[in-house]
Amino acid sequence: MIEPFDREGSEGGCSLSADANKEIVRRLTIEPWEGNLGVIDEYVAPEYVGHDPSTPDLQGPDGMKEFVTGYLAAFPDARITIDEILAEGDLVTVRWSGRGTHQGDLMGISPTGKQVTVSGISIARLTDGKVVEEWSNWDTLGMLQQLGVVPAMASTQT
Amino acid sequence: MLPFPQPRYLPCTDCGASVARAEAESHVCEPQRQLEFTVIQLGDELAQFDDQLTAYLATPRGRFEAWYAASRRCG
Repeated sequence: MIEPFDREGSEGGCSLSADANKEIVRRLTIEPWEGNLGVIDEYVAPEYVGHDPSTPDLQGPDGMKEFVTGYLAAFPDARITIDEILAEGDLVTVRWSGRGTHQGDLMGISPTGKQVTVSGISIARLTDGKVVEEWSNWDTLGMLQQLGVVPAMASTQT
Repeated sequence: MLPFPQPRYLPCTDCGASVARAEAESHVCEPQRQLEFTVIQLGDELAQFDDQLTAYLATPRGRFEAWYAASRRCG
């Protein structure tokens, strides 16, 4: 059973239980890629900042939507699956895998028709039932290798 | 020396499907995916063909061919 509220509230606000936070992050991880961008408006705070080494910081719900729609334009069938999800206090950590077929322009790379599989880890911080900050690291090198943009095998000759 | 990073999955060269490298030998291509992959791979060539056909149909000979084909179709 999900306990809606923790007894230890965050500063000035009410803190949802770890299980409730997990459910929010679970939906935010999966549903935008299935076309439900409304879930971003529902659970991403206006002051949201997303940190991802592969892109400049994402600002607010619109920043997250732009990121998702940009990748969906390149990988229309992209889907994310959650491999593991952990929560503690106001933090939720997700280990995830993503798979999609490269059917649209991506960073100037014309469609290749190649399907790629990547994995990543994201940590979200929530306040009052909304994600306010997120740190993600995922296998961008692997994605570029799978697309053939970066060689998968490199010479080790010196 | 540390090895250069290798992705765990690589696209099949025949159909583009994402295949775990450890399972590459047992992979069997799906015909539909193989067809779609081939069409995307030939995308530039197909686009060039469209341009060449449009240009040809604008020439006197192309216009005649188009007229002749239309007249034959209409009986």
